[in-house]
Parts: sequence; C-alpha cells; structure tokens
Amino acid sequence: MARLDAPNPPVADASPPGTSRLPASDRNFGPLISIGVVASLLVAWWVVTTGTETVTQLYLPSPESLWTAITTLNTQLLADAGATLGRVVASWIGGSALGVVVGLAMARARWLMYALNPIIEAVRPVPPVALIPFVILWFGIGDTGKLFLGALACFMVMVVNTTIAAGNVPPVYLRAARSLGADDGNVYRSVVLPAIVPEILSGFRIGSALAFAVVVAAEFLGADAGIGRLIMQASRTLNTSVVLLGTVCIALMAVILDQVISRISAYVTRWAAQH
Amino acid sequence: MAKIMIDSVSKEFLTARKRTVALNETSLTIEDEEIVCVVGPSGCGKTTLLNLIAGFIRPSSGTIILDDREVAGPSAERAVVFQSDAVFPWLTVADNVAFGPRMQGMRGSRRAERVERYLDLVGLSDFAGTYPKELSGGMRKRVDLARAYTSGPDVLLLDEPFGALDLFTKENMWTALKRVAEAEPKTIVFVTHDIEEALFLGHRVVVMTPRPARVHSVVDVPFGADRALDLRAEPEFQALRMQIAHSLREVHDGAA
Repeated sequence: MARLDAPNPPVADASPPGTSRLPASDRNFGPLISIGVVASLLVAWWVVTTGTETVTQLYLPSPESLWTAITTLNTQLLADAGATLGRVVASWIGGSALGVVVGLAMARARWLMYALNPIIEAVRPVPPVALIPFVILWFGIGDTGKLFLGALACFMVMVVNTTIAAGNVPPVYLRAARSLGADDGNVYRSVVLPAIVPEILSGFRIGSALAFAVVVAAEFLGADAGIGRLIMQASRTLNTSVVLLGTVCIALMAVILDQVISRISAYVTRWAAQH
Repeated sequence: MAKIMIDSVSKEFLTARKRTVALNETSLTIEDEEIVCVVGPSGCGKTTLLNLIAGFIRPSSGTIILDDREVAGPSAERAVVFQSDAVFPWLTVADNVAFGPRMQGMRGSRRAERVERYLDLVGLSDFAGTYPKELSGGMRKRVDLARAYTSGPDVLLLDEPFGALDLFTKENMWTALKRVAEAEPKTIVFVTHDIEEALFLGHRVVVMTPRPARVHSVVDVPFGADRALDLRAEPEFQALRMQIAHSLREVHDGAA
C-alpha cells in the first residue's frame, strides 16, 4: 500500500513574517494625513494671530510670542520641564509596577481579591486631583505628595487592567500547560504573565498620560519647579504666551513618552496578531 | 494489563438550578499503544470523558485507572490536543514544542534534539522560529501535536482536534498523526464526530449515546496499520461507516 509519508507542503496562506495586511496605498497615506492636519493647524494659527491679527495676543498668543517666551525663560524652562518629566516617569513606573504586582496577586489568590477589591473599586472613580488638599496636609508641598498622586492614578489603571487580563487568559492555555507538566508557579510565570503582556503595556500607555495630568495638576497648587508651577505663575500675570508654552511642553513630552512606550511594546508584543 | 481502565464513571454538573448528567455509568478498557476513537452526537459528553481522563475534572462516581494508579489531576503523562487553538501565541513554534520538556526540567542539547525531531516528524522544521500568528490553522494543529508528543506522554488525548479544518487539511493531519504514531506508538484516545476520521485512524471505535452518555457499542476496525487515504473508498470501509452511522441514528432516535 502506498505510504503517505512526504511532509505536507506548507499552506499557501501563511504570510511571510513582518508583512502588514494593509495594501501599500493605505499604509503610505496615513502619516501624510496626520502631517497635513498638523501643518495646516500651525499655518492657521499663524494666520489668525500674526498674519491677520484677527485674535488678540491675550486670547491666543502668536508663534512669535511663544518663541520670545522660550528665549526669555531659557534654562528655567528646561529645569521646569525636567522636574515635571522626572516626577511623571518616577510615579508612573512606581505606580504601574506596584499595580501589576498587586493585580497578579489578586488574580492568583481569591482571598486577596475579596480583601482589596472593595477598596480599589471605591477609590478608583475618585479623581486623584480631588485628594490634593489631603496630600498637601500629609506630605507637604514637596515631591512626595506629587509622586504619590501620580503613582496612585497609574496603580489604579494597572491593578484593574491586570486582574481583568489575567482572568481572561483562555482556560485552554492553562489546561494545555498543566497537561505538559507545568505546576502552579510555572502556569503563572510561563503562561499567565506572557499572555497578559499586551494588556499590561496598553495600561502603561494610559497610565503615562494620566501621570502627566495628575502631576501637573498637583504642581499647580505649589511646587518649587515644574511646568504646572510655571503655568500657574504666568496665569497670575495673564502672561498667556507662557501658559501656552507650558501646555505645548506637556503635550510634547507626553507624545514623546507615548511614542517610546508604543515602540517598545510593538517590539515586545510582535507575536500578537494585528487587529 | 490494560493501560486505561474506566470503571462505571459518572459525571454530573450542578448549576444554580439544574443537575445535568453528562456521563452515566461509563466503562471502557483501553490497551497499551491502542488508538481508540470515540464518536457520538455533539454535546453527548465525549469531551467530558476526555477531560476526566486528562484529570481536568474529577468523576462524580466511579474510577479511572491509568497504569494501576487512579487519575487524580492533570499530569505530563497525559498530553492533550484541544479542539480550540491552544498553541501559545507568544512563543515561537520551536519554543511551543519545547514547552513540555522545559516544564519538566530538560535542558540544553537534549531538549533541542527532541524539539527538532518532532518538528521534523510533523513537517514544520522550516518554521521553527516563526510565531503562530503567521501559521495557518492546519499548521498550528501540527505545532499542537508536536508539542504534545515532545512532552513525552504515555497517553495522548485528542479532543476533536481537526474539527475546524477543511477536508484537505484534515487529510493532511491524519497522515501527519499516523506518521508520528507509527514512529512512536502511544495510547491514543481520539474524540470526534467524524465517523470516517474515527475509522481511518482508530484500532477501535467507541459509539456513545446522547446525553447522558454511555457506551453504546464498540466496533473493532479490521484494517491493518498500513492505511492509505483511498481506504475510505473500499466497500468494507463503507460498510463499517454505514453500520456506525446507523448506530448513531438509532441512539439518537432512541433518545428523542
């Protein structure tokens, strides 16, 4: 009888590694639209301020006055931006890491879930900014309170993300791992943890934006340095070009940080199916 | 000495308001290196039987004995290939296949050799460094099969593994499974609703009744080890297929 032992040919629909599913025309079009929109907004900004002077400087400072603000502030701007970025990154990493650890522990131990869930669910909807008066009483107006608030915001996002993601790991993965000889700890380290990496990373992205919002808001109410303090001082003298400059600084830092995270996560989760 | 002894095993599931008997007083003896295919109408409790042997769930009554020891939980001696996609997407094909040996503490060149060997047997050597997302459904099933074999189990449990594949891919998978099982015979329990699949692969075919499932009849498959895909056209094969189809219809009508 004929033996059918030739290895079967690879199936044709397996696309080669690294190819995108989008047709080439769609792929090149996207960035062009983004650049176009940003460029037209910048031009429109110049037109309504310097170009035609439709809007007065107070309501919307012109690009030139922004530049003047940059040169006047000079190193002070860098110091303020550095202070804010430092607080954001520190509280974001600290809070997120703690959130992942606690989230994993909650997903693993039922009693811990019952113990912590009510507290987390109660604190989660409260905007961290609402706690600023307490934080100033507890920690003063130094760095500690700002770090605490930023970390709290990130912790809440991560702890919820992690527990939900860990609960959503397909049971078939866990069963498969068990029948291949994995013990409890192995199932956690080698299946649950890698399976939820995409959710953890998307939580990191949400957290980084939140950390900016919370840290800058905390700086409004008192700080020796930081973009929040810069904006608050300038607004007292109605120096709107510095206010706008501060906002632009935050936006730039947040975008760069987000880009860094999304580049890293695209590499780390290169195994995940594209949407 | 029988490899697996299933002795009047029942399984009931309790939900809030309902008690469902999935498996009722089922007994079955499976010999060493035997391939037993279990067929039955969908939802009849075939998968429950397999999950019981795998140790994912415990019987409500009765015992399952493997090599003189009662099955108490999942273990590496019983590898499972599932109906749904259970290949870990975050690991490359080679790392997926190496998962069992890695969990069991095998390292270095011994592990690499083993992985290579089974990848070769299922015809996936060229895809060792590929992530599963780049593979077709049939190729992923081969990864699953190679992973189960590489883990070095005594018993292989397959739960409608090729149910979601098209006929051509399915035939390829049958050939791949036969090749691996010939190279390294194992006790295999194969759950399916495809009578042809059961007859083509099995030494024996067990026909189950609808829920609550029991063993209706056991058919000895008279074809030798050397089976080609064309075997399905033989009158004898067709006669057996009809016989099993009739039994299934009979049990189905009996239950309705």
